[in-house]
Amino acid sequence: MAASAVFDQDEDGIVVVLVDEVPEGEEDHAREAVKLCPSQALRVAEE
Amino acid sequence: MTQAPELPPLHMRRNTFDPTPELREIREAEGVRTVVNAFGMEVFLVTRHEDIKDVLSDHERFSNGRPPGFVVPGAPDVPEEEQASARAGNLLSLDPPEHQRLRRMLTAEFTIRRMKRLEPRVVEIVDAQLDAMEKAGPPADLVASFALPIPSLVICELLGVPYDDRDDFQRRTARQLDLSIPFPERLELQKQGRAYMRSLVERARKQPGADILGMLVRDHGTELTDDELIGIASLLLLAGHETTSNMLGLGTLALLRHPDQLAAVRDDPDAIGPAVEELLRWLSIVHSAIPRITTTDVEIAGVPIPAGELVFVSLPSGNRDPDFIDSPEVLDIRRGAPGHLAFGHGVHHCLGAPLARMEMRIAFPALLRRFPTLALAEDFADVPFRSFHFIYGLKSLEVTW
Repeated sequence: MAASAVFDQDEDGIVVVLVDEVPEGEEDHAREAVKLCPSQALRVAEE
Repeated sequence: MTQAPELPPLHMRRNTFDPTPELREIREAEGVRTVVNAFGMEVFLVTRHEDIKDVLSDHERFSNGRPPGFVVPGAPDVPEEEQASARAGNLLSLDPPEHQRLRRMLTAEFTIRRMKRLEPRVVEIVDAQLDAMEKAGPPADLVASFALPIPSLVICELLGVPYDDRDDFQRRTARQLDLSIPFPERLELQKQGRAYMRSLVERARKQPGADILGMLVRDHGTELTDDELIGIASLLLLAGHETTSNMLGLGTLALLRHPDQLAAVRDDPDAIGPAVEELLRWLSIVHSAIPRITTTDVEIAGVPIPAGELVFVSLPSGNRDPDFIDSPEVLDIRRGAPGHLAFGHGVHHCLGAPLARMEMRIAFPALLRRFPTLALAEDFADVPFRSFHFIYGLKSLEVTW
């Protein structure tokens, strides 16, 4: 997991987003996770 | 008998650890070029990191399925019905949505959490192999005594395949993936493999165990045909031991050739995580993803590709693309190489990646700590690389300590 403060994986292997807003200091991790996600399921909505 | 060609097809050529320089030349020139695959077919070879991601994430235009009437030259004439039965359950020959239907049944078995629970058992398996090596004493063939048995034992337990049957299925899968072996023989081996798996599926139907086959029968038994169960289990068995075993063998050799980095993996518990990723990138043992076929006229890197053409993506080339990573030719275990393509990309991204990572994170440091003086027991020039195989690796590796 590239950003464990932002994402988790449920028992079925589906990605769960843990927070509504990316916590301060986690932005780079979250962006990294979006870039790496092989199923391209993730997007960051910029304010 | 067809004569084995002297050189494997271009996308499989390597000089020990390195992809052939011709791949770099294509990547730096037009990026996409037609080459000839192992069956004499002209295919489009994609070599740049970003282009490879584009192909692998676009299953609508780059399909894993094959249109009706698609034939590989030299393939024996197999009745359509038999072909369909042999294709069933093979996730790598399916596109969404059929692919997702099967893949979703399996994702729960390979989550990061599930892997955490498996860890203690993998530690036991690794320790037992190391005990056996220590008892037998040096020298040893690291492939036969370590790299192959560990992932084989793990996938057998996970899947519910008796490890005692390993001589047969290991021989079958190794030859099935060897492209220098004539097509009819490889097809026959595939048939034998399916017949073997059919017996295990029949048993699991009657008495589903705590393993993946048992889970599939219990939770999805009514949705899956026997052919699909056989296909899924055959793919997992093959993928589970043909891949990680080559990473363990080749990865150990790579570390032996980079003693400072070997010492870091041995002595620093934090080194192994990024080291595994960098070894995956640098070695890229899968030469190319499953060939895609274009469903429409497309353009990659400005090169037009007509509909109905085979597209190969070179994973070693994409992983050594300087637009992806600095100093790509250098093995540097500290960088971790996030975003490498060794497990592929898109919907077919390796299902077993968390398992492979976990096995490697346990096995490499355990080996190096048990035998801190581990060294090659043969000249590097004599190490036999596996050149004609769908997955790159070593035939054997003589070590001492």
